[in-house]
Amino acid sequence: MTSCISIRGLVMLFRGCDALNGINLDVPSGSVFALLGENGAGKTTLIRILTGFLRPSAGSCTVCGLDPASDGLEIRRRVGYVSDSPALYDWMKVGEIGWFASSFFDDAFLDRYRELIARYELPESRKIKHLSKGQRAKVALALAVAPDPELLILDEPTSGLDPLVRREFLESMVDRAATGRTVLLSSHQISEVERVADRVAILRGGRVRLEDSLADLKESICNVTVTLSDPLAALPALSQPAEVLSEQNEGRQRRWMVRNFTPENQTEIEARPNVISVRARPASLDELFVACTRGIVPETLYELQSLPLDNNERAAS
Amino acid sequence: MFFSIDANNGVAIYEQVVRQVKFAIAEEALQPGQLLPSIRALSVDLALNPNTVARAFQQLQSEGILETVRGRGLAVCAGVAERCKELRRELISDRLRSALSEALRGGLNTEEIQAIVQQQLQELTSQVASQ
Amino acid sequence: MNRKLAVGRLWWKELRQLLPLVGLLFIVGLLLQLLSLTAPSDFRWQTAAIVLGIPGLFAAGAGALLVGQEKELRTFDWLRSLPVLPNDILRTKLLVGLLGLVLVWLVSLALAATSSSLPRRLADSGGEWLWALHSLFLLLLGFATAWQLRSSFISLLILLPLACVPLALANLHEICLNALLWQNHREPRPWVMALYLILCSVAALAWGWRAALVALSPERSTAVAAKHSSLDARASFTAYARSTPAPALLWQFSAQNRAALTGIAALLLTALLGLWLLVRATVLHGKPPSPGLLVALSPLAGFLALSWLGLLVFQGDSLQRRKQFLADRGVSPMLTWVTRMAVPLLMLAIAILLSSLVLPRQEIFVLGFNQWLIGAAALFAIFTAGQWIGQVIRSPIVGAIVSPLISFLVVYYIFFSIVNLGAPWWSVAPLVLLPLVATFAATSAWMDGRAGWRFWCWHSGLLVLCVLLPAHGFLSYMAMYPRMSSASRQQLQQLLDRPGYQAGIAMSWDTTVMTLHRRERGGQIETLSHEQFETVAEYRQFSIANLRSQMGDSSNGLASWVTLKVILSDAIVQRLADPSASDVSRKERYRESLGLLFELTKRQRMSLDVRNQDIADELELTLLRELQMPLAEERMGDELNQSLRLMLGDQLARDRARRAALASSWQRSQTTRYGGPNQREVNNSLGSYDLQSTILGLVTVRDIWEASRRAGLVSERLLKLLDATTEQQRDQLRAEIGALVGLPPASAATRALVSKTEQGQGLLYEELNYPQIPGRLWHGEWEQVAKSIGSGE
Repeated sequence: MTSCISIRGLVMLFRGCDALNGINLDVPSGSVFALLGENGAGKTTLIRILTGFLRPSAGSCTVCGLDPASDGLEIRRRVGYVSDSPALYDWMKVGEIGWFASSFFDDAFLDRYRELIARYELPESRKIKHLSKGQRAKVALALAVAPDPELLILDEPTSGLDPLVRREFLESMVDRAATGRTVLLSSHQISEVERVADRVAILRGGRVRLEDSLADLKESICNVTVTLSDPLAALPALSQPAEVLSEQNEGRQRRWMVRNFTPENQTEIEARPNVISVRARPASLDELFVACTRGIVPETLYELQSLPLDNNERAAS
Repeated sequence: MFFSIDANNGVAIYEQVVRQVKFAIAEEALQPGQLLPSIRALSVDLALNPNTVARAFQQLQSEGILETVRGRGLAVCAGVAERCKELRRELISDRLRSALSEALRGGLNTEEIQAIVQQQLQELTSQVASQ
Repeated sequence: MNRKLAVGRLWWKELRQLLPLVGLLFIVGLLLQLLSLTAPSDFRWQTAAIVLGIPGLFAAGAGALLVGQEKELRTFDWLRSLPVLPNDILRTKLLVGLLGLVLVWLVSLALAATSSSLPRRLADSGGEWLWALHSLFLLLLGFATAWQLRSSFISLLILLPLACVPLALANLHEICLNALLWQNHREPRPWVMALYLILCSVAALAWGWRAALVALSPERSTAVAAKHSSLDARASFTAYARSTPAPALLWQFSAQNRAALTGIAALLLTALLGLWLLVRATVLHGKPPSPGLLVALSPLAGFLALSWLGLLVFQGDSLQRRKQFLADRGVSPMLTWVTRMAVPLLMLAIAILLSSLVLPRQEIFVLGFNQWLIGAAALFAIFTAGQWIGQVIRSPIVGAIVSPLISFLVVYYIFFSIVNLGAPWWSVAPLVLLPLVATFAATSAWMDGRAGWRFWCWHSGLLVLCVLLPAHGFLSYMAMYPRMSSASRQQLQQLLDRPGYQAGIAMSWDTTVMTLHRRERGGQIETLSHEQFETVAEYRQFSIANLRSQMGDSSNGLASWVTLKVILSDAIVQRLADPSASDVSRKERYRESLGLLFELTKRQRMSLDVRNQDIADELELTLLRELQMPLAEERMGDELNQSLRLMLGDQLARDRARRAALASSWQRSQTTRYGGPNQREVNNSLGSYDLQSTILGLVTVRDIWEASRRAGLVSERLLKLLDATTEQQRDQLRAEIGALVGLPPASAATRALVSKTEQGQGLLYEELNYPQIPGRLWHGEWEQVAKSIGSGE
C-alpha cells in the first residue's frame, strides 16, 4: 500500500521548547489515520509542517509525493485542511466565501460546495459572523472537502461543538475513506476515534509512543484486574508471550495492561493462593491512551528512535 | 434495521455488527432475501470505519449468512434463521454463565442463586402477561 | 485554476475590506466641509485645507486595515491554506492600497475645490504638493510595518516616528550642506524634501516586500535544542526572587509591554529630535520658526508619548485578566503599584532630563529654576493624568484616544490657573501629584476589578480636589471680596427698567470720537497735530471748524481734551485781552468759543457714560467760572447768558442724567467682554473709567472679574452720593470711592480750575485733565453756586 504521507526523522525546535523530537510515520493511502496526544504533544506542530505553514528544523516529509516546503502550492490544491476554530472572513456570506474560494480550484468546486452547504443546512446568504460556532465549522469543512482532495487533514475540528455537528464531521470522514481517500485526524474525542480510525498513533513529548492498527491494538491488549486477599502479596511474572505494559495498585486490587494475555495466563494467576479473582477484558482506547501518556509504558513498546530517552522517562520505566 | 454500536463495551465493533445482524435475522427483523445497505452507506450511517463494516460483512459472508446478489449488494441467505436463533441461544447462555460465575464468586450458593432466578422469571413473565 | 480569475477575486476581497475605511473618511470629509462653511471667512480656506489631511489618514490606516487586521483575525492563515501564490496576495494588497489612495485624493481635492480660494492658494505655494508624495510614503511605510510586526497597534504606534525619517534626513542634508554658513539654516528646499521622500518610499517598499514574503512563506524557527541547564541557571535567581517578588514583577511588566515601551521610547526620541531641531532653528534665526510641520511635530509626539506612557502603567495589565492573575497570587497592591510605575517613571525622568539638556543656556533660552520646575511639572502632569485614566477606563482603545486629550486639558488648566487665576505654584503641585495618590489607594480595588461606587466616589472626590486646589485662591478671594448690596443693585436695575430710558437718552457712543484733526487734501484725509499750525488763532479756528463739522455728522461725545483746551484757552485769552468787553471781534470770538463749549456740554450730558458725565461737570464748572467773571453778561450776550444760567440751574436734569449714566455704565461693567490676554476691552470698566489693577502686562481673568466687582462697589457709592444729605456723608463716600479707584483722597476735593490763567496768552490749562475719580464733582459746592446763579441773582 502506498503512503500518502511519509515522515522521516522530523525535528522541530522552538525557543524554549522542543516540539518534535524525531518523528517517523507512514500514513497509508485510503485509510483514516488518527493522531492522539495530550495538549502540547506536538500534533498541531506536525500538522502545520505537513501543510507547509512551518519549516522543520531537521528531517523530511512528503505529502502525496511532494515536499510541503517547496511545493506548497500544489499540495494545497490536493490537500484539504480544517484547523481548530478556523478564522474565515466574517464579513463574507456563506455563498460568497465559496464563490471566492472557487476561483482557486477547478470548476466543479462550486457545485460540490453548494451541495455540501445544502446538506449541512446552512443559509447561503447569511454572513459568517452571524453563524454559530458549529455552523462555522461546517462551512470550513465544506470549503475543505469541496475540491475533492486526496488527503483531508483535520486538526481537532470538533472541539467544543455539539454532538450533531460532530456526527456530520464523522460522516464526512467516513465517506471520504469509503471512496478511497485518506483522512488524517488529530483529535481528543477518543470515542469517535475508536469508531472511525484505521490506524492510531499516540504522540507524547514530541515522539511517537505507539503506532499500530486499531484493530490489532484492541485485540491484543487486555485490561486485567486481580483482586487479592493480601495487598502485599507478590505475583509472578506472566509467562510469554504475555507482556505486562503497565501496572497500577489500589488497595487489594491490582490492574495490569497486558498484551497477548491468554486464558492460560488467567488460570495461572487464579491458581495462586492469595488471589480471589481475575478479570480480563479488552482494553479501551481511552485506557490505552492514558497508560501511554502517563509515561509508564516501557521501552519495549516504543518505536526505536535514533534519539535516546530522556532521563525522566528512563527512571520511570 | 437499527444497529446500536458501543465502542467501549469490550466487544470488537465488527463483532457487534455481526451479532446484531444475526439477532435481527433471529427476530425476523431481517427476512431471507432482504438486501442490506452498502458498506459505504452503512459506515456513513453508523459513523464507522468502512473497513470495519467490510470485515463484518466478510465474516457474515464466510459463515454463509449473507450472499452477494449480482449488481445489487448483499442479501440474507435463505434458511439461516435457525442458525441465528441457535447463535442467540449460545450468546445468552454465555451471558448467564458469566452472571452465574460472578454470583458464585461473590459467595452465593446454588440454592440462593436458583431462588433468585425463579423470582426474576416469575416477575418478568407476569409483567409480560399483564401487557 | 484560472489565475486571472483568482487574482480578480482577490481584488474583490481587498476592495471590500477597504470599503469601511474609505466610506468613513468620505463622511468625515463631508462633515469637515460643512463645518468649514460655518467658520468665519478668514479661516475658511484653512479649514477647507484640513480636508487634504484625509489622504494622510487613509495612508496611515490602509496598511493596518489590509494587512494588520488579517494577521490579527487570523484570516490570513485560512487564505494561505488556499492554493494562492504569495506574490499574488502581496501584489493585490499593495495595488488596492495605491488605488485607494488615488481615489481618496481625488475625492479630497474635489471636496476642497468647493471652497473657491483653495486652488489658488495651492497653486501659489508649490510646497503643498509634497504632501501627496508624503502620503504615498506613509502608505508604503504603513504596509511595511504591518507586514513586519505582529500587533497592528504597535505598527501604528511606530508609524509616527518612522514617518519623520525623510524630514530628518532632509534637514540633515541642509545642515550638512550649510555647515560652513551657520546663518543660513532654513527649511529644506522642496526638491530636497521630494528626493528624500522618494528614496524613503522606495526603501519602505523594499522593506515591506521582503517582510511580506517572509510572512507568507513557511515560518522558520532558528532556535537550538533547549538545554536543561538553563533551568539551573534560573534556580539561583528564583531563590532570590522568592524573598521578594518585586524583581519578578518588574520583569513581568517590562517583558509583557516590551513592544509598547519600545514604541513609546521611539516617539519620545522623535519629540526630542524635533525639540532639538526647533532649538537650533531658533538659535540660528534669533526667533522661533513659523508654525509648520517641524514645529508641530515635537509637542505632538511628546504629548502622545507621555500620555500613552502613563496609560500603559495600568492598561498593560488590563488585558486578559492579568491583574486578576496578580491578585490571585496575593501580590500586595502597594507592590503592584510600585512595580507598574517604576519603569515608566524612569523613562519619564530620562525624558525630562534629556529635554532639559537639549535646551541650551544661551541668551534666548535662559530659564529660571521656577520656569524649569513648571515645565517639568507640566510634563509630569501629562504622565500622571495618563496613568489615572489608565486605571479608571477599561477599554484600551478608548483610553488611548481620550488620554492625550485629557492630558492636554490638564496642562492647559495648570497654565491657566498660574497665569490667569494667579494661583501660587504650590497649589498646582497637588494637581500633578494627586493622581498618583488616587491610583495608589485604588490599586487594590482595581486589581480585583471592583469598580463599585466607593471606587468612583474616591476618584471623583480627588478629581474635584484637583480642580479646586489651584483655583482655591481665586475662588476664596472671589467669595470674600465685598460686593455691592442688593438694595443698590435693585435701585440701579429700576433705573434701567424705566420706560422712558431707552427712548429718550440712549444713543450710540462710539469710542472713536472727535479727537483728531483731519483735513482733506486732494482726496486724502490727513491727520494734523497742533505743531503744524502757525498761530494759536489758526489752530483754534481750524479746530472749531473741525469740531462743528464732526458734530454735524454724528452725535458723538468727546474723548480728547486737546482741541477743547485750544478753544477754551482762546476764549479766556479773548476775555483777558478785552477787560472792558468792548472789542466786538474779540467778543465774537469769545461768544463763539463759549457757545461751542455750551453745546459740547449739552452733548456730554446726554451720554450714558459716567466719565462723560464727569467731563460735562468739568465743562459746567468752567462755564460757571466764566459766568462769574465781571462783565460776563456783556461779553456773552443775552442768549448765551440765558442758556448758561438755565443749564447751570437745572440740578434735577443733571442728577437725572447722572443716574441714567450710572445705571447704564454699571450694567455695561457687569457684562465683561474678555478679548484675550493682550486686549483690554473698554467695556470692562465703569463708564470708561478703567478700574483694573494692572495697567501694564497681561490682563487675566482675575483682573477682569475684580474690576467688575469694583465697578459695582463704586456704582453703589456713587448712587449713595447722589442720595446723600450731609456734607460729611458725601466726603466719606468720596474718600471711599477714591480708595476703591486707588487714588489718594486728596484729589477728590474740588479745586478751582482757572487759578493760573491770568497770565498772558497761549497757556494751557493744567487743571483740565482727564477726570481720574468717578463722581469727583458730583454734588460739590459749585453746584450750590450754580443753582443760585441759575435760579435768580
